[in-house]
Amino acid sequence: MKKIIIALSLVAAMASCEDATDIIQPGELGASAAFVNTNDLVIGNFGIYSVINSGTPIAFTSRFTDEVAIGSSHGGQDIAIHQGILNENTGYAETLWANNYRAIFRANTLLAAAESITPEVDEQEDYDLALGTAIALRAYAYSQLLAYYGEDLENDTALGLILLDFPANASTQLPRSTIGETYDFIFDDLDQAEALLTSANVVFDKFLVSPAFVRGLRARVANYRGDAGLAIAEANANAVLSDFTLPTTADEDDLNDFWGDVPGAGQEEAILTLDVTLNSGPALGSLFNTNASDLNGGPVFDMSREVFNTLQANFESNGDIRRNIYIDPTSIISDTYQTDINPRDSDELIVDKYPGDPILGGLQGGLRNDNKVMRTVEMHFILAEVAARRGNFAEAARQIDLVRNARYATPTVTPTYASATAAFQDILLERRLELFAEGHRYIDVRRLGTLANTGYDRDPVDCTLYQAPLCDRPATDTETQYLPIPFAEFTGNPAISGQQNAGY
Amino acid sequence: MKTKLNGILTLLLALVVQVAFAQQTVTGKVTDAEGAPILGATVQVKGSQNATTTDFDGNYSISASRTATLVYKFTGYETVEKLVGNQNVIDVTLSASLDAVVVQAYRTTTTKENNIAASQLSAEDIVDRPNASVIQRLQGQVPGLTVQTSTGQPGGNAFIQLRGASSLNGNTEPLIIVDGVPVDEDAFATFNPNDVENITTLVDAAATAIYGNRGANGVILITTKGGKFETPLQISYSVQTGFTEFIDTDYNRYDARGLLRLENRLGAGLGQTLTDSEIDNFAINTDWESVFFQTGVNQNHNLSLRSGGENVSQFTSVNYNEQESALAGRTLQRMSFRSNVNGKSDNGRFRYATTAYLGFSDSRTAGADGSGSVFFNPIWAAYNGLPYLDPNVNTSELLTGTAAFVFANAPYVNLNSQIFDRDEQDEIKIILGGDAAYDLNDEFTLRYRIGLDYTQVNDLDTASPLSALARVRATSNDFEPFEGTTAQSTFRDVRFNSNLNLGWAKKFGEGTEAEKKHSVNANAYLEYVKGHFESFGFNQVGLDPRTFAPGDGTSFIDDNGNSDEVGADAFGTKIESGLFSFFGNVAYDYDKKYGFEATVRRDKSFRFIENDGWGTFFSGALRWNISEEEFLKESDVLDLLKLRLSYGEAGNDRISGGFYGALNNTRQLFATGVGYRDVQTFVPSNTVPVADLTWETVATWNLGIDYALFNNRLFGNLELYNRKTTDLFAPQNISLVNPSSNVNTNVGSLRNNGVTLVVNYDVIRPEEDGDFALTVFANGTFNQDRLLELAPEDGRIDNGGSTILQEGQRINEFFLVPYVGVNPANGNLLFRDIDDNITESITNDDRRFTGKSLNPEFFGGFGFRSSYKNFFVETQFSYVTGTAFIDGDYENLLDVNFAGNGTLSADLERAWTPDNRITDIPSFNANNLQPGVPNDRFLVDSNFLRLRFAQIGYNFPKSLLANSFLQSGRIYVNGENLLTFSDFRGSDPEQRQVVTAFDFPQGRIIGFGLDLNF
Repeated sequence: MKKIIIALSLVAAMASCEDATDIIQPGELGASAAFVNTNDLVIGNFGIYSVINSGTPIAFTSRFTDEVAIGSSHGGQDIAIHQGILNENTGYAETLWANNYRAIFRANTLLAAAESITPEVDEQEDYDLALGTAIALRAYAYSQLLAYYGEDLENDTALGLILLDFPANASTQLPRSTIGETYDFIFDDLDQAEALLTSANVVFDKFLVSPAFVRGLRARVANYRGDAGLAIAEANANAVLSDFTLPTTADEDDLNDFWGDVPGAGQEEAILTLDVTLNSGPALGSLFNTNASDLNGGPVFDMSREVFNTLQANFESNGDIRRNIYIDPTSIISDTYQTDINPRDSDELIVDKYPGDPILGGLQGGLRNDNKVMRTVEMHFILAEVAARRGNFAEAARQIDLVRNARYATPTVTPTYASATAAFQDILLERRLELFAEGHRYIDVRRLGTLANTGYDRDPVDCTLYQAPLCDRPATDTETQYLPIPFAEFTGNPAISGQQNAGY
Repeated sequence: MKTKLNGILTLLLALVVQVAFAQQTVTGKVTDAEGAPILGATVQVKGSQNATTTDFDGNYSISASRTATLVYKFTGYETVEKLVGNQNVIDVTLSASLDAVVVQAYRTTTTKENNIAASQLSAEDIVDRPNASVIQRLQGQVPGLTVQTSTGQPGGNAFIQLRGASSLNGNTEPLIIVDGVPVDEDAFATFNPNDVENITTLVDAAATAIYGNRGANGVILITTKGGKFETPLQISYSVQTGFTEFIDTDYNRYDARGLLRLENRLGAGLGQTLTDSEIDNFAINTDWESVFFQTGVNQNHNLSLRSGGENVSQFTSVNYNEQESALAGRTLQRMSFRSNVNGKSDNGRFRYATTAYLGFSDSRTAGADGSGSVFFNPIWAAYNGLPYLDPNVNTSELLTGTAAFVFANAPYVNLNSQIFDRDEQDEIKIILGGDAAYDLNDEFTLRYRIGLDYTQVNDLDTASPLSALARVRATSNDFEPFEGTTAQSTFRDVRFNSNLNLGWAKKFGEGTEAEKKHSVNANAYLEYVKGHFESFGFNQVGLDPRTFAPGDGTSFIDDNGNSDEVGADAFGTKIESGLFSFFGNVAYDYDKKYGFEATVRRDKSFRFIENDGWGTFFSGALRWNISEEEFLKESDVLDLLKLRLSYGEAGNDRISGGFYGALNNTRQLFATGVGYRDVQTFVPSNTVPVADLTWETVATWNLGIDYALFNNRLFGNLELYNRKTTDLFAPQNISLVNPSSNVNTNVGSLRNNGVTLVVNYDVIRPEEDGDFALTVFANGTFNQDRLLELAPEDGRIDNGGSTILQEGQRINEFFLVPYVGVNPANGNLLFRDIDDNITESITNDDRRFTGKSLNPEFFGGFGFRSSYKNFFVETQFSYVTGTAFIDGDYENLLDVNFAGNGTLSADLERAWTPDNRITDIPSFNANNLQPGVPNDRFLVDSNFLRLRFAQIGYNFPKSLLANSFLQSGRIYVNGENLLTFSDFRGSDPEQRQVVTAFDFPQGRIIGFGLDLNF
């Protein structure tokens, strides 16, 4: 029996305490081992880009506004959003908020880690590049938050955003700063980013942030500010346009190649394009079609009839090349859609602005295209707006004409605006066409809708495709002005109590 | 020294006595109350070592003197003593004992000495039921236990809780131990219920403290059968056949013509293109429920062998089980083998037991149960398929090209997938246990237990290149003519448990060992628990139909340069968990009247190592056997009255519920992966760290009364309890400037208090064999759960959803705006706002408490057992109240936006119109059909009363068996879920979901069986 006792004792001895309790899981990467050198900072930025490279703004914007209509394979996706229901429980209100703050969190984590990293002598440029990129991306995330959640973009004392330049933790509870403080924060970031990226001597690459992108973003954000931002917006838009020029005549093949992501195409069109691969970035095509951007691909959301009718009219009068690029050739265009019994199936306007990238190939490749975040054409729109605000309608018209020259095969007569409203109307109309399904329409209507006396404009037939009384919508509705701060922010952050956007 | 001296004296005495009285041989038969022979009963000459056991026919033979007293003992029966006198034949009938042995934690005691709150089920409560899961068979049978099964998958996981939920986010399911080996509480598909000898459920802290953090939610001890020493081979065979049926829903779905008329009015679907007369003559009318649901056929074969020699006994079983659910293609196939061996040394000082269970099962499942992925969830298609579509036109051509993947075609796509696709889990389950004890001397025993729970699952999920899904995807894929996907993975979960125990037992007092009145039992333990989980697998896109076979790789198309999409991607996971504990336990008994027990333990969890990790927990229990007191001992009425009081604490470290969940929540971690531009990068983890996480503690008070009255005719128990959980784990909301909206942390406290009553009554006791016998039984538990405190200032954790956490309220209580009805003026929905005003538009602030949650409040079971002649009948009902859920199926069937995509409920015929203003169904065009705020329009009570089990059978008469090779046999027919009473209009009210929609319901099972003993 001694044998048994010995055996038992041996087994008991084997079971030591530490083995069962001091467990570090295989594959753990702790904070101390994460950011160690300059290269880690450079690499770390690609994790910030990943969050920025999102299809959510396009999904929300196209479905909530008047860009799309229900397609034949629609099965309830985002129906409430399409019916215009937006409140603090709405998923998009939380996703857009949380996603941008996640990018900011990642940027702040990287920037905080960088403070304890000293670059080697030959690493200074990489170090500056890494910091400049992180700061620029933080500014971009804040610019998005500002556009969606800022209570009044032209009033510095209105409610702005929660501003952080340090990594948050579980006990972080901060109130919203003012709009003015938010602008200051973003412009500070942009100034720092421009200085760092310049000293890093980066070679322009449309897939990465660049000094040109920083200037373009500065123009965009300054333009949000209205009259208070005119000079900065103008100067920076012009600075960008000194490097990028829209084509002076329309070339359908070139534009088609640009949207189809043919390498080298549209080099003058793109200031920042976020690269989408099979493994990273959003499948933008799947926001509109299930399997492919053609009639057989399971269309979920078609192009709205209003957008199409305008494009079609331009196409017939001036050979608008966007008509054939935005709409897939397999589309069924019913001349009698207004009286069709079943327009959902008989009139299918397949969105083809994201036709898929043949280089990626396969089913997934057919749903993936690069995410065009900032294009040259936007600078012309900014300059047009600046001019219109200053009462210089001729200049506004000239800028819009530059855009149309690039898209119309048969040049049009330069418009003349009789009033500021007319100018803003035309700017908004052209933005609606040119920036279709790029995530601009919501922000455009909130900024320009009242000035242009234009809201969401849906074709009555599109409105019969869902059961709800809401169809057109004036730009004065709260829901078209800004999103609600998501409910989850209030439950997790008592400091923001009482700071919901008015009307929600 | 004293012991030795006693021995010598006894020996001398015996010699003297032997001289004085002559020996005679006594023979006889030991039977139970029903007259069945008892095998293996011990017959002992009182005060001597002279003993024997009864044989297969209950016969025994022993030599004893006339003045000797024979003691007849058998586990589970009352001990009987008989004076030999001048009898040569003594037949004895043993009656079933209330003193059935209660398996208590690591020790065993009988009920009189038992200090704990426990309930017990024997094999007959479990065996021969048609349900494949042993856990699901427990529903309504164990007081305090809720068994909520949200799937109709045979052998599927059931959610079980004892006495309510002790945690919010942490694990709330009890620990399950099979023959001493802790096992995964969620994996019983591969377990053979026929092996079960008994199931003991431990509920109070006195019982569970010994299991520490794993026992905080109670413990279910499953003991499987074993052989007995000195018994011949006994062979049992049972066979069962059964049929599973879908339990119909009651949603008043449209027939084809009705739906077409509605579509015509709404301008949707096929209906809008047809004329009135075309609709009136429309011929097709399909009930998609009956297309997807059908009668499943089940069969079960079980063979077991038991035998025992002088020092070793064994039990072996082999089982084959095949079960089809009511949903076509969803099956379970199971094969298992068990070998239990018990052995001892000649002198009995060394004892050992081993248990080995090997099971293999194959489950055909699907990944999308309960989801709105319409092309992947056949239940969606069954509930929502358009009745005007013809199932017979389901050809390959139909699912090609333009119209293939419109919503309306979802039933066809699902039928196609049933043919071409496969989702299969092959599970290997091994439970190995070893238990060895050695009596160092008369007082000290050293014991070691080791256990291994091994689960391996091979998962295969494949879409054939010939399936409609793959073909249509391929047409959108410019480079490959084929699509098709295969995902294969294997996981292995090994849980190891080692327990070393030194026990000390001693009696003090006057007289012989049996007469000593003070009994002390002390134990010290050292326990080590370790879990290893590993998985790996791949996803392959691109299969060549020429060589395709599910699970085979021949057909895999490699990345061929044309497309990055084809080819495989691989993955692997490896994680560990562990726990180290040492603890001690002392029990004291005085004359079986008074008892006292105390336990203290120290546990260290790997989850809290940043914060020391150690937790210390105490428990104690008192017992008073009132009926043993002199003033009651002679009572004719009262047979047993026992009072128990216990208090104890236990820790819980399973923060997020799972055994392998929340492995490193105290540390800020980074994750590596592919980032932008396919650069391999790293990002901060989305789990926000909480450095000061610590043990969640469950403290339980329990007051119990065990009673037996009127010659044990009426017996049962009453338990009152109060369980308070402090340092409660819950997801606390944090600002979204973090990468997550909440953190799991210690945020507050909650309480479950309640009462459990068990009553058994022998209404009619048989005078002799074959007389009419009737026993009724019932158990009920009332459990009230309350959140006592929560860390946020307003005492509330609210995600804007349908349920919230709020101090003073039930756990995850439904928090909804009351729906009032339809506005007669305009057909919009009307709600009640927080100020009780009627309104059409509501906000989150208008939500209020409903008193309902997913946790039952009052629940239990009742039934009767009866026999007459050779017939026997049994019923068992189970019931649940206090629960509710949102009926998403009905909501869907009233959604007119869905017209043309799926069928709808004909309740819509009552919809508001200017001519029909007083109604409960709103206008099709109401502007607040989706108010965007959780409301109770579709909240339905999921309370139910269910005839969970009923059985009628016939025992083969002895006369028939007398000349056969059969020892005994019976034949029976039984059923499960035969009747269900519930407000819910769907199929199965047992769903534990906030919103139930397109879920796989449990079916109704009818079984026929035959049991034979050789």
